Amino acid sequence: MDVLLDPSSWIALLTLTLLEIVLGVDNIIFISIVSNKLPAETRSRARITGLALALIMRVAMLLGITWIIQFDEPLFTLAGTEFSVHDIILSLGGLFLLYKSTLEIHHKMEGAPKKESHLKNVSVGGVILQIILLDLIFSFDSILTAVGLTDELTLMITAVIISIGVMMLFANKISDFIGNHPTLEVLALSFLILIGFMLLVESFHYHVPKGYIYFAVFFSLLVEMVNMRIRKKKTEPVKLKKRLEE
Amino acid sequence: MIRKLIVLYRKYEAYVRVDLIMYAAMILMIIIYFLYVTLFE
Repeated sequence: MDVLLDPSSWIALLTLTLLEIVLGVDNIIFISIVSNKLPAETRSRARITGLALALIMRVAMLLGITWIIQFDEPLFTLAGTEFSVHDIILSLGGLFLLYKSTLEIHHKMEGAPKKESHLKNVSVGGVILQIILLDLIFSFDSILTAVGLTDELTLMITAVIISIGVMMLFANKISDFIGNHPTLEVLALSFLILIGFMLLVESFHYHVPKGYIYFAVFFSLLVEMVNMRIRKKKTEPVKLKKRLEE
Repeated sequence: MIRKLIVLYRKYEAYVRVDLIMYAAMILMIIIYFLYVTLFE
């Protein structure tokens, strides 16, 4: 827990939390669409229960993946480089982040949203199950982002808890803000490309100081804040395409 | 329960396919690692 008292860790925590929140907007939209099938009086309860259970699953996944990454005995040698389970997971994770974030950017720019079918007779339990499963599956890139941005498990878990807490409390405000500033969403996906590339490089035993990523993230955000201030809503923002619509 | 999961999978297949492949790859990695450690060490 001492790591949370270290100022240099706060930058990692802030970066990770911001990325988790921005990337969690799509999860919020999915969860809203799924939970809107319920009557109004049970909707909020299903959302909060689903997110709380999803939080527990995410923390369990973080613990699991940090445990697996400890397996650093060499399994085989390729081109003079020894590869362990740690290296294979970093390389697979890096490739996955590169692919997924490129695909997401493509879908947001050019994809056709799918209309969600309206099902009757959904139960609270069924909706909660859908929320948990969808969040668990979609959180894989968040977990890999956490692994790529910091080595401290405490920071990863803290960032996940804060981001899910923020999603529970401010879901609508965050999705409205991101909807009005789509550049932030595209920037976050671009950061995932950077983190994915960094994971890939690290899997070949080239250590990249995390400070490079933190600098890139905060510099880009600073430039975007200046842009937002200058533009001051003179024009309507571009509406990024959603994967799923009601 | 299994049927519900299959229905959910078919409904969201396009969105979750890559993530599920990644999960399967991770699980396979763990199994291969433990087999390797058990058989060769």
